[in-house]
Amino acid sequence: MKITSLLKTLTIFTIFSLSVTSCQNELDEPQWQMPLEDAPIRSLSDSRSEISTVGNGECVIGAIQYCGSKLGMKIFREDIINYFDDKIIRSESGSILGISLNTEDWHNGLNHWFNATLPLGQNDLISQIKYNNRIACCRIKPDGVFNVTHAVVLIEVNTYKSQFKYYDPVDPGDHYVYFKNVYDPRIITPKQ
Amino acid sequence: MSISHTFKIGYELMLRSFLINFNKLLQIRLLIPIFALLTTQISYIMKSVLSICVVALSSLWAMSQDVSVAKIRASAKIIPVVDYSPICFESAIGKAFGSGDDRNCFFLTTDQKNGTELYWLNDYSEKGRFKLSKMSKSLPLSDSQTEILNTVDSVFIFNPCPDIRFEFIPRDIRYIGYRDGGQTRYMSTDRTFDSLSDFIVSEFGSVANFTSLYLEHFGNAFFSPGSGLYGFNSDRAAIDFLKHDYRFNAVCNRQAEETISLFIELLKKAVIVTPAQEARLTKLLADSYKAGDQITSDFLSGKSFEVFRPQTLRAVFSPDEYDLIQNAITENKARLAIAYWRISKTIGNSDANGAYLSDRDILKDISKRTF
Repeated sequence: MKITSLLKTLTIFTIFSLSVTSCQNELDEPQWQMPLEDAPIRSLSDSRSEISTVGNGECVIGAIQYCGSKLGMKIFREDIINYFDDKIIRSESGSILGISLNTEDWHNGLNHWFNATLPLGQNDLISQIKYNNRIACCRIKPDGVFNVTHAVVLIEVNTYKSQFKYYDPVDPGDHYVYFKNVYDPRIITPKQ
Repeated sequence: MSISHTFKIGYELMLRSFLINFNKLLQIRLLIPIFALLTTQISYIMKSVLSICVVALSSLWAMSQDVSVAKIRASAKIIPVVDYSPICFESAIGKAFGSGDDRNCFFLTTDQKNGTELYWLNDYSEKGRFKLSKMSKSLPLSDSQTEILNTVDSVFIFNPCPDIRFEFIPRDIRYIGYRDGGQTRYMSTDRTFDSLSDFIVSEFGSVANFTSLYLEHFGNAFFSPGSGLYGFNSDRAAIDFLKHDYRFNAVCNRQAEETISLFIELLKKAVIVTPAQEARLTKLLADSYKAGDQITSDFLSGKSFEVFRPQTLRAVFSPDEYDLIQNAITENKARLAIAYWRISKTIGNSDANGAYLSDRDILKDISKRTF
């Protein structure tokens, strides 16, 4: 009887404590993760362009800076702008509207600061991020959004949902993209 | 009483009831065999209870998100983003403060514990689904603008001439407006204006200049792929367009004669082309044809490019005809963007072996399907 009472008490306590803990964490506090670098920047393309395979505005700048910060590098915005100079689309007032990049430009640009390697395939990309703690800079094409690509940095993997978690240079908070919407990924490691 | 406390109390009541009934069961000796059975099955009961708890917690967590946005809205100072529109602009400002609908705006909270915090409500990442994000940086305002933001109740971010090709982002903030005793004032980084017209004249030179710029922005929008005015009912229709589009032919390095022929067909849809004009044009276009890898590279990077020199058209057509032709070319560009985007989405991001495709790989694939 004593054992029964003890078992009963332990069971109830376990259930209760688990519920209380999760309630306390999930209901009382808003679940916004602080962005590692909150640099709201433009990322959409110039509609005058033919196609927006490269809807990369300042998101490219933010993505490169973020990758640099993860590798202990300080990369200045002016340096990135200078590098992409002839590819930058500007408004009449001079502000940056977009950066026109094809795959080759994207690859060469990332390799200017990092060792940016093309993964062997999707499984390799998942494995590198999940098991080797790598990050990957890529361009995403979200479902339902026409003619826009966006430069982001993949930081985690959720294989159950077929999604990567990514850092968005424009919008702070948690973001996820399906595997199938990832284009031109490059594993980012320090330049040798 | 918060939702979490309500849940805790309800849960305790449930457990208390369970214990009371369970004790009663234990007191009845005849039910000891049942108790023994229950004890051995208790792990299954635990799992069921935990599953119910998880479901309940998930629902409550989802509700808590909405509650948090509502909570912020009720307790924080709203700073709406207001785009200028010539239709009932003053009432639009009032609606921006009063509307409970999700819209692009900021919230500013101040308390003793956390100090000043800034949140951005937007659907930037997921269109139509607004999310609240906490900003770690303040708005890019001048000192005088910041002072107004912190001291005046009804302050709004003002976009006099929203560049509708692009979405609003906090970094683009330049102007604010605020209500002061029934009057609306506008601020640039270093000046305050008592009226919208004074602001417009100062920042844009004149109302006429502003109107012209404003109309140009929206005029361009009609020709953009995102306008909804150009589309295809099927992939087959999109591919058929690509096949007969002079620009796509040039990008794929097709024969010059075919590309020129397709271009002239496009011109004939916009203006009347006499046989003499056509003959002259054919020769001039052949001389100015600029196919090659640079066009392909520019196309893939999204850069604007011309297959033929614009001077060629000016040499053959009148200024009015040239304007009509330019409209036709602009619409054609929008259709090309939509058709190409549509087909590229069907290809996906990797090949049959799982290797990621470059933009040239995708172009090659689409070219094979088209020609």
